[in-house]
Amino acid sequence: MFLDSIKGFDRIFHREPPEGSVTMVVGKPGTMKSSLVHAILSSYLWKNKGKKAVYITIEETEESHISNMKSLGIALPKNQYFIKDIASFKYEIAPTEDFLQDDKYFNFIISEISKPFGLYSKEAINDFPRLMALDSLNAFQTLFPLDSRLLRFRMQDFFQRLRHKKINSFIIVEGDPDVMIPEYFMMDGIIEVGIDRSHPQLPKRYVMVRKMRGVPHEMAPFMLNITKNGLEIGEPLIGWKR
Amino acid sequence: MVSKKYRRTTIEIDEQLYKRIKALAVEKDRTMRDIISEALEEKLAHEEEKKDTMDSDFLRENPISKKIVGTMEKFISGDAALLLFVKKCESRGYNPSLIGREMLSDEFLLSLCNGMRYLSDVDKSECLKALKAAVGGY
Ligand SMILES: Nc1ncnc2c1ncn2[C@@H]1O[C@H](COP(=O)(O)OP(=O)(O)OP(=O)(O)O)[C@@H](O)[C@H]1O
Ligand SMILES: [Mg+2]
Repeated sequence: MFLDSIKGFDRIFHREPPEGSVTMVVGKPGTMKSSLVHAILSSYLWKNKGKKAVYITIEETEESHISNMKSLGIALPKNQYFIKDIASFKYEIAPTEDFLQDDKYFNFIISEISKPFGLYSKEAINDFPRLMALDSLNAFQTLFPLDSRLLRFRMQDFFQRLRHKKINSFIIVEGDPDVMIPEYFMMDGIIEVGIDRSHPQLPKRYVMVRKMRGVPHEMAPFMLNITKNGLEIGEPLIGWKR
Repeated sequence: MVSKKYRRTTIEIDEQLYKRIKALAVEKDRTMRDIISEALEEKLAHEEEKKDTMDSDFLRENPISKKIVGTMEKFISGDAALLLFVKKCESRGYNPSLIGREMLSDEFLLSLCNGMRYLSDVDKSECLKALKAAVGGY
């Protein structure tokens, strides 16, 4: 689906990554993680009318996402694209602190995330969306009272279920891509986004694939260009220093 | 055994209650501190247990609430349905165990639908129709 989404991905991927890949999009704050994922999903959907995507947002409201996408000229196809706004829902139910006790919060988020895809349901759901985004893994994990091994165990199980159902998933992680986190090992792909500041007067946004199982791909960072039609992948960055 | 740590506190209690505790302590040959601590332990354990089960108990007690939450679950997860329903009842001063048909105004049902729409792409009027159908009548 990458090659059939925003312009320029064929510069990076020489073949289409396998269906059901779990791909992390990682970068520091404001590096356009959310925008890139919205752009990939929506441009794919515009070209594939029968397909559907669910974008799950845990901290930032749908309203905020929509106004950001508007400012970038990214149009979200209404009947194919659903933003599951857990941020606003949380505000609506105004949870008290006892919500954090036991596994209540974890169970609520996990059940909501998996509901559209029937990840944990026994009866088969036929027409589930084959694309999903989770924004962000940090927001999803920070409030859990679980010890980290148990949390990791559940995350692994969750990703496995996505793969098994051949759902192309994007997991957004806010952080320094050079700082190892255990979730790196659970991913089929890792896409880094960042801002190159080797020329301070001329910072450049870039996308770089760090890993993608099952396909040959370029290793260099490529420019992430903002055009009037949304985002595009441009030339490789030359003279780039981290 | 690890020895317990105690903390001194001052509270005012009813004169008669004080006398009864004192009498019980004498009768049982125990300190007032032990009698009062024990009583508080029991009370707290009871309350905490109640809280654990309270969340969804009303579903067993009230068939109308159960129908509504069951219908909400078609669109959102069971956990979310429960949370939203309880919250919307609370904000109107309704007890979810004591919900009656007459309380289910369109406005109340729509407030459920509005909350659900953050999590589901169900259409507002479709949602209202489903909830009304679930509780019958109308
Ligand atoms: N039209 C535009 N032109 C250039 N830059 C823009 C434009 N619109 C938004 N931006 C930049 O993009 C940033 C937001 O992008 P986005 O929300 O996708 O990033 P993010 O990595 O998801 O951020 P966060 O860490 O806040 O989640 C804004 O903070 C702004 O710097
Ligand atoms: Mg973001």
